[in-house]
Amino acid sequence: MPSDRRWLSGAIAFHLVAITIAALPMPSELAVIEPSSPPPSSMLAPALAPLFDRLALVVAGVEPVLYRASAPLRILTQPYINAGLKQKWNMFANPGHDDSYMRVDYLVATDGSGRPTQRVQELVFPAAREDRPRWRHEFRDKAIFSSVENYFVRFESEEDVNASATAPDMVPIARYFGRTFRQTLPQGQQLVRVEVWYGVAPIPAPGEPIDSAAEANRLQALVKYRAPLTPRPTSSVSLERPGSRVTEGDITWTLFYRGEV
Amino acid sequence: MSERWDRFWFDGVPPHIYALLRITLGLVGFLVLIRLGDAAFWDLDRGFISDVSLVGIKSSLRDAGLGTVAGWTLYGVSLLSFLMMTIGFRSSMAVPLALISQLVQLSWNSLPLSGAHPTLQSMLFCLMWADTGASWSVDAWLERRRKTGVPAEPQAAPEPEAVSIAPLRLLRYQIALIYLVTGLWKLGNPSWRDGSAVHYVLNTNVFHRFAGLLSPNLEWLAELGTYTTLAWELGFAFLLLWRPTRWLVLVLGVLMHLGIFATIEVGPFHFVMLAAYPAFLEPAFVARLFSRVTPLRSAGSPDPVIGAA
Repeated sequence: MPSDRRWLSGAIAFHLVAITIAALPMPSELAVIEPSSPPPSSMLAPALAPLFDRLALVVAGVEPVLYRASAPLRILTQPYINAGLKQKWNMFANPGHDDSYMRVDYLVATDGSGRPTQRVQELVFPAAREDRPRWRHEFRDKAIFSSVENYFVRFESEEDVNASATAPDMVPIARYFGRTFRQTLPQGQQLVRVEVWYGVAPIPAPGEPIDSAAEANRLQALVKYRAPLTPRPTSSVSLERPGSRVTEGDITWTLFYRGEV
Repeated sequence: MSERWDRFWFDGVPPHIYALLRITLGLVGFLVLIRLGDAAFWDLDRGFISDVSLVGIKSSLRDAGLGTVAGWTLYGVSLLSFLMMTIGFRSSMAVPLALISQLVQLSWNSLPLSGAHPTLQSMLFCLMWADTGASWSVDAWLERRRKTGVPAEPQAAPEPEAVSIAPLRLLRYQIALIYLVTGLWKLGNPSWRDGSAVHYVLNTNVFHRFAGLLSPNLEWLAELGTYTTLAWELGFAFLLLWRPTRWLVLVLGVLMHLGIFATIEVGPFHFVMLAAYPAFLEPAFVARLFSRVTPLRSAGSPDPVIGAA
């Protein structure tokens, strides 16, 4: 083999080893494998779930061994991977069991005092009405969803969790929507504060009946957060602390962030 | 052994397959950027932009009043690189430039980016090492014109020289790795093992394209979809190795991506994957396809799908 091919062969082997070991998840990222419990209405799961459970157990046993064994190589390959070849392919690995919403509340001073007298609430996620077909990808939705994912990752990794430690992921949301809203304010009014609320509502499990009344109530509740936005006196909604929860129909809203913009 | 390795990685193939991949991946990257052309994702002063990377650079640009200019410059360069890549103008520079623009974009603002972004990055990295401009490109057209002095007729085009198969092999490996690893991640989640994952994906307001798509008496379809997806992703890399299953797994892949695209809304990921699928075509078959458009004397395997994965 000519010497240039020898060098190229080395580079190819290095690349293959690097991307393969970079694709191995850290054992701490993997869930503990327990026998799955298929919904009662399942047709295929009684036969297939035990097979996949067994396979998952085998993988869960082998993966940490491979991860540890590849540790010395990872030291060599990590800088190469960090340069732009990250291999975390966990798309759709953890499908959520809830519908998600995000609402931004704008606290406005209308009398020049600097104290909020009005609250305006806007549903910013999802961007389009969920009861209508969604034909195009909304990158804004993806940006909000990424922020929420980052929030939860940070939340899980923090030992002493508190709202101020987890807020940075919400700052771009508060800043962007706050600035956009500020442009719509009449002269003399001032945006004092922005709150970011994250809402979840359960999705019925397979085979469970759909509660059409609850669904209709939820959609009705959400409509009022869409444009045209209606200002309300702040006394109608008390000022909450980050982490506070409020329920509205079957949606549970949690205050993720509260701050000035 | 050394000879087999040498043949496997350094055999010569007609370059048309790289041209095809340059066009498909370049076009997808270009169209994604067109859709991303909103100040919200580029403009540091007014945008919805992450604060976790390039913090010092971003704050310096903001302080200097260059937040808007810098954002739109990055956008313009990214768009231009993918346009150059698609049409094959300065291809040897366009592909690396597109990759660099993707890397900078990731640091500039990762928030609106999905799994499509790192996928495209990985594909571009493999493609960067190939001669993608030897055919179906402005480069090739200019080269012919330079040699003959007049705009060349396609029939007069000389057959391009064979190029190394190594980048194509790397691309195939990368695609197989993506499917295998994503399948293994899914295997770790109880919703995928108990057959309910697709039910939740189809019903969540984050992803569904149509609300209430499946009525309760069609739930078995969601269950079938869950297990088919899991089995196909886990098996993809292995089924590619055996000729009889190769067609099956690739056709199933195309159907799977189109089916997911029709029912859930996850952005450009499916288009990036499908744009990379030509990597599994037999290079000689792609060259023959080329010769139908611009007649070339090309002999090759009659099998359109890879002879050796």
